[in-house]
Amino acid sequence: MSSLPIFEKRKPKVAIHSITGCAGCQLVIYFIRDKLLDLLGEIDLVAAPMIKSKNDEGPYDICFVEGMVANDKDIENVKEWREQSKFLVAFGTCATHGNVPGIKVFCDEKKVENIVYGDNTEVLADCQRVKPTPIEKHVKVDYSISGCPPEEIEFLRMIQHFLMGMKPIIYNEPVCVECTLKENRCLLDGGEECLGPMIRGGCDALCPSINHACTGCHGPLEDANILQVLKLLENNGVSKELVKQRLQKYAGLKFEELGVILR
Amino acid sequence: MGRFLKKEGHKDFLGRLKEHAELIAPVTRDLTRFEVIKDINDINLKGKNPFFPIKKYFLPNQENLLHIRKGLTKAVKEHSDKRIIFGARLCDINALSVLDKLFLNSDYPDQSYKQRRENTIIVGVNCITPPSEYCFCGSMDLKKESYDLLLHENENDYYIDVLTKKGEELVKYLPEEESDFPLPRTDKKLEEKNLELYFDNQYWENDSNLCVSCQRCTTLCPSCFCFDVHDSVNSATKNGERIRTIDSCHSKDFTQVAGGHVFRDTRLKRYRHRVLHKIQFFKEKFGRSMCTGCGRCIEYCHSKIDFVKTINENFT
Repeated sequence: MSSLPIFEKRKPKVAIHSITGCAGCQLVIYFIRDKLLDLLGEIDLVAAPMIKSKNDEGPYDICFVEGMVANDKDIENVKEWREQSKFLVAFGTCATHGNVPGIKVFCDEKKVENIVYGDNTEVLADCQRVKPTPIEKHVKVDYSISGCPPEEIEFLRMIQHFLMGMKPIIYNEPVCVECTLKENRCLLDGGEECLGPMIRGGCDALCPSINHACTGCHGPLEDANILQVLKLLENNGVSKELVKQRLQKYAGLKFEELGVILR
Repeated sequence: MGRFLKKEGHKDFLGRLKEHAELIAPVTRDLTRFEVIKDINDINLKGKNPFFPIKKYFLPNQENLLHIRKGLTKAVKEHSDKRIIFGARLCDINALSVLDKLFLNSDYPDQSYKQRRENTIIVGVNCITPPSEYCFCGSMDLKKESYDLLLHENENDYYIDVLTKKGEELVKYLPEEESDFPLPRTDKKLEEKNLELYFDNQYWENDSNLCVSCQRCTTLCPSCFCFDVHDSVNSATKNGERIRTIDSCHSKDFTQVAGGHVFRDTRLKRYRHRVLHKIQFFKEKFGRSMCTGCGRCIEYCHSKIDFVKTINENFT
């Protein structure tokens, strides 16, 4: 980890870049309407190709990258941004865990490509077969904010902490904490397929608060007791197939690293 | 000295409470919770002990301790809203005695807590039968303290135990008479043991293997008070807040210190510490157990980890 920046003399240079993904994470930032202008007064947004026509090359102080690595160009890009940035932040579950595109890892590659591109041989020839992977598999990532999409408050808090000259504090508790504080009825105890106890919160328990079991879009906590949560789901009569699909959906690769057998 | 309230007079009594100040009482929807009462017919005392204890009215999950304006600190405004909490049970009320020991400490009283405590009237109810099979307050040496009024239901009337002047004001229209009432009894009981002897017992680990670190036990505990404090300041305007948020010893980050070291790095250490702090360490320091036997930490645990059962049955 490089030393913490002192931004007293000048505004920090911030870049918001994107590789393969739906671009929804960036939209979260641009949709912070009421605070965006204030924010732009505190930072120097030097590169944000989605909303700016003139974008600077590095060096950047902070570079947010959304999306996951799916082809050679992506690898090239993240390596370049890494070199140009003091701090590289993986922004969104694609960048941090591989997310939905990562499901391809668990499927027959040829079959998936065929479903999408049919027998368009031209496109298929262009398909550079790079395993869909989170950014951290290719370059060093300083901080991660997961979420599909991530919460605007987590983005704002990180910027604020950088500006205060401190190491960013990223919410690192399970969904259950915020859910309990909101005094929600527990869906897991009620027999549903809620993944709350092993998933990183920070979402203010968005889904369980409207009676929808957590599907895990923030990815697992490093410290989660996955074995026991899987046992609780089994006790609830949730089918193994459904659990497998849920775990593969946002962070299959991470769950595999943590010891869950998904294929 | 106490007062007697006829059963048919209880609606009138609740109406008087509601007129006096903001009234908070248990309401049953998908769960029973403490809520601000708009209609006294919503109040339900027959249900379960409310999901979240009354500590939230004294130690909110998140609160501002200071305002920071142009880099200078400015006190928050006083918490002067008057309220009445009706229908709290002795476990939650005795837990306030635990919180008082820390937050009303004569050297360093916590101003926010103190103001909220002074502006709240607590009208408790005594449990005739335990509201949950997990209750074990019968073994936790509860005391008749920390409430203003306490209702004990008899066959034809309520006996109202009066402890304070604030409470007396609310019931002085009722006939006065001295009486007594029994404390709640429970089937489940925690046996008293010297836990030092069992520090390395295998059963701590067996239990902690079932723990998913969801922190519901500490969050829902009426006497768990651990918190975190952080500053949130806008760098351009130098305006911001110092914020206190609820924290939990079951979180791995809880014992992380500068440099990144974590003292209680395993679930075993965290689980064992919580239980020992509740029923032993606190007692050694303050002369009373921190646990009041409400049973929420067992009932709402995803894995139903039962430390009472473990201590009773396995520590031999």
